[in-house]
Order: sequence, then C-alpha cells, then structure tokens
Amino acid sequence: MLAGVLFASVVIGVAVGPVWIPPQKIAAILTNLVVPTNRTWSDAEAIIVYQIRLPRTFMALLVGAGLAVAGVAMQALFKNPLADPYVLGASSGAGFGAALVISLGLVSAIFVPPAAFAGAVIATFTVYALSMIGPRSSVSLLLLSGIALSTLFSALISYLMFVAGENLHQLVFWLMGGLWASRWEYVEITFPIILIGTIVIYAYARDLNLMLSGEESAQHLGVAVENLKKILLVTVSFVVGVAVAFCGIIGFVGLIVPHVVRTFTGPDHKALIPASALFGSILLIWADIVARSAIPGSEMPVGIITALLGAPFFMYLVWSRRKNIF
Amino acid sequence: MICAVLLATLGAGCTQLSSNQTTQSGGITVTDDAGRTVTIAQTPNRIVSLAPSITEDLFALGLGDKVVGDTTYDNYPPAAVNITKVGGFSTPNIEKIVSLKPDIVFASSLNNDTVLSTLSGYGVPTVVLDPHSLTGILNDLSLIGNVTASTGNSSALVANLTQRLNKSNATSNAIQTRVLYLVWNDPIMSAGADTFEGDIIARAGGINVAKLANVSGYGTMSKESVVALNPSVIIANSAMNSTVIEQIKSDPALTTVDAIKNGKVFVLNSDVISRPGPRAFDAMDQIIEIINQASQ
Repeated sequence: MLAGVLFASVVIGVAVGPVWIPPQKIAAILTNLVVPTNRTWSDAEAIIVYQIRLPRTFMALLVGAGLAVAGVAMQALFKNPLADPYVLGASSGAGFGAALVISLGLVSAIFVPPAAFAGAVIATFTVYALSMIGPRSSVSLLLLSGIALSTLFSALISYLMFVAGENLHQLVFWLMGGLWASRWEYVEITFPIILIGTIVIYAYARDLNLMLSGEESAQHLGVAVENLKKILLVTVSFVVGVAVAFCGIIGFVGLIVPHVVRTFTGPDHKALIPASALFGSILLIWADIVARSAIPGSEMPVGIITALLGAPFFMYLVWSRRKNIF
Repeated sequence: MICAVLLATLGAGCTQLSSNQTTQSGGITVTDDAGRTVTIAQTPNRIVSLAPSITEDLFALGLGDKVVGDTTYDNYPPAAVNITKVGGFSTPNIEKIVSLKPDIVFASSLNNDTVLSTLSGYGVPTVVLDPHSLTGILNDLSLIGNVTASTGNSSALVANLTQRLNKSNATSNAIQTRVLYLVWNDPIMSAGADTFEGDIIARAGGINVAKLANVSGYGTMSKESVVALNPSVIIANSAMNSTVIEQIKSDPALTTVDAIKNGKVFVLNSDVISRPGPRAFDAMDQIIEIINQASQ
C-alpha cells in the first residue's frame, strides 16, 4: 500500500512545479528515455522534467527514507522516543563544517558537501569517544555528550554567521534545508549510501527488537550490544552525513516518521524499518512539493515545511496516545 | 533567519521625495526614506555612516573629511578604509558611535531599528536612506546635501548623474533583452520588482526575469522558472567566485538557457552593482554595454 502511495507521490512530484507542463508531455518525455517517442515537447520542458524535477524527487525519496530509518535506529538504540538522527550532533557538526568553509569563502558545491559530511562523521565519533566507560559506551553519556557537542557547534555556527558578511544568506539557506540543488550527480552519490545504510539497519532488525527490552537483557539474549552500537552509529553518521551534505538540515522527518509508522506496524523492526523508509520518502516528497509551490516561482526551504507540518501533527500524536507513546 | 529579517526590512520603507524645511533656529527638518521626521539643529561637522553605499554618497558629495565613523565593510573610496570603524553593517557598536560625538548618523534600512532608536535616545539625529531605484539614489544625494548644507555639491552631482540617466534612456529604449541578475546561485536569488538593481536592468534596456517570476525585493527563484523564462544574459554578482560561476555554466539543468548556450554570463563587481550609491550609475553603464554587446 505504502509503495503504491510512494509511486503516486513520485509521479505527482514530477508533474507539479512552478512551470506548467501538460501531463501528456511529461509522459512522452519520460517514455522517450526508454523508447524513442514522437517529439511533442521543447528542450526546456525536457530539461525541467529530466534535470530538475526527477533528480529532485529522487533526492527527496532517498533523503526522506534515510532520515526516517536513521531515526528508527536511534530511537531503538537509545530506547528514547526523543532520539532522532541528529541526536549525536551530526546536524550541528555538519552545519559547522559547512559554515566553516562558507565563511572561508569556499562557497561552491565542491567544498560544502564534503565539509558537511566530514563534520557529521567527526561529531558522531567524538560523541561516541566521549561516552566510553572502559570498553563500553554508556547510552546516557552518548545522549549528554551529543547535546553538549550540539550546543558547542551551534554556538560556533552562530559566531561564523555573525562574521560571515555577504556569505550569510548562503549559510542561512543551507541551514534551513532544501532540495533545490539536487542533480543526478548528487543522487548517484546519495543512492548507494542510503541504500546500504537502510539494508544494514534492516539486517539488525532482530537485535533492535531485543534492545527494546534493555541493553542487559539484549546482551543475555545473544546481542553483541557494543558491536551493534558501533555499527549503527557508523551507519547513521554516513546516512545523515550524506543527507545533510546535499540538502542541509531537514528537521523532524527522522523524529516523527518512526512514531507515526509505529502506531500502524507496532514495535517490530522487521516491519517498522521498511515502512518508515517508505513513509519518510512520501513525507519529504510532499513537503518538497509544498516548498516549491507555496510561493509560485520561488523556493522555500523544505525544513520550514517539515517542521510546520510535523510539529503540530507530532503534538497531536503525543496527546492522543499519551498513555502509550513508545 | 537573520537573512530573512534582513530581506524583510529591505522591503519595508519606501523611497519618497525628500521634503525639508528650515526651522526658526537655523536648523532643518527632513523626512527620511523610512518616513521619519528628523530635525537637525545645526550644520553637521561630524558624520557617522552605517552603510558602505552611504559612505560612497558622502565622499562623492565632498563630505569625506567630515566622516568620523563607518563600518568594517566600507572600502570605497580607499580613504574610507582608514576611518574609525563602528562595527559591522547590521551590528554597529552603539558606545563606539556615541564616543565619536557625531552630529548626525546616516543609516540604511538594513540597520537595526533598536540601534537607531537608542541613538535617538542619546540625542544623536539619525537619517535612514533606503533607495529602491536610481532616482531614489538621486533623491538621497539631494537629501544628504540638504541635511549637510552642501546643496551646491549635491545639485552638481545630481545634475551630472541625471544626465547619464537620460542618456541611457535614449540609447537603451529600443533593446529588450531578458536579463537574470544573480545575487546567489544556491538557491537562485535575484533582485526583482522594487529594487534599484531591477531598475538598473530596466533602464539599461533589459527585461528583469526575476520581476517576470514575481520576485519582489530580494528573493529566491526556482530553477524551473529560470529555464522557462530563458534569460539571454546572466549578470552575476562577484560574491560568486570563479568556481561557482563555472558550476552555473556547467549545470545540466541550465543547458537550454540562451545566456549559458551563447556564453553570455558576465560577472560584475558586487561592490559596484549591489551598493545603492553613486557607483550604481557605473553599474548601469556596464550593463548597457553588456546588453549592447550581447544583442549584436
């Protein structure tokens, strides 16, 4: 069912945009990619469909799925309903990396994504290192160091914004998150990372189920807890790193999607992970459709839409299921 | 966030003809671009400028030696660099300004309202300049001339610039070239209706595609709209370095755009094109040349 909705969302994502292109033309342009079709469209229309809307919709699909699955993994690992993919400081780490190169004047797309990616990965590993007690990492220390590091990086970002001068708007838009820069090259990099990340997390679905009963009992039931933590943290930092690198900081998807999906699938990760991936994709595709249509001809950061739609819905969800939220 | 606020304030306030009247004590009362009525008791000898464009105005009016404070961004004319800095553009240091004992502070619409009201509280008169067109810039030059009792200089400068403006109207009326002015590329940001950059493009014989895409003030533009509106000239602000310009030229989504296809992407010094001061008229001349060259 969700897969059908996702397919429909992709179709609508390609059909809708500030420039009106009749559906039969879009269909012809897409058919032409597979079998040569009678040319009824202009070059500009083909470019809009193939080079702008398609990569953008696929990017939304991938990033939505990646953030949602990363959120599922983090909530299970921390046994905490407030955990999200950014809980280990990946977003502020990435933000700092991007802010640093932007404020140095290295504003092009060659520098910003790698810097953001490096920032996300470094932040996650720093937090992990800080949480070690002997050979094991403590979950509450992970959370606390994550919060502390996020605060530190946020302050550094604010400082860089304060001194950024004319590069300020670049930084501001990047931090609000958006899919406007999507192109096939980015899809090609993002696709394998998020696909592998999702598969890795899904492979540990059984272990994540056992983690819900607590770290100790999971250990007794044969889960190599420390190993699992390392693998999930590395996987999540890569998934979030690539998402943030190309699309900036898109909030709320990784937090609300797992909660919404859990109300339908229950807590079993074998169903929760794939369903969250699909629902995350659908949500971000729609948020992006709203972001690029809300003000015709203009671009709104998609992070505004996800938070604007996500926060009230989440509040309703928490309220309506206040007895049994996690 | 900060940027959004900046952009919002840019849209506020409107250019109006400066009205002024002499008070009994020899002082002068004017209405500034933010619609505020300001009384200046005596001819100012110590001036603080809170925007690079205003510093350029003051120097062009021969008032450079009276400027006792400006911002860290002020770099033109070269003498402006050595003037005492009162802080950044949107973040001036009030103590520093007050310690310079200015008779008047000229601010832009980008300056914080709190800064202005605090200064007024210290008895320092503040005048806001917010031109949205080339004639708006001329009005502001006259306004500064009135306030500083240097109308001789300002009328001469305004007359000279008006002449250039009229000449441009005569030469560029016939040409209608679609121009995209790029403030930034990721996301695409441009200057639409009600901006002096938009006015420059129109006077240089261009059609501002950002205006066609309903951008008002400074705002983002979707790539789709750029492809559909197909500008034949792209004028990029030099805030985008050569790597960024190369990226724009090689963007697979922009291959059908005439300006990219025909190599008509031009980079203009951002200090010249984005400051609403006397050099905006130089930007106009440069864009006239670009458009003439591109339409041949």
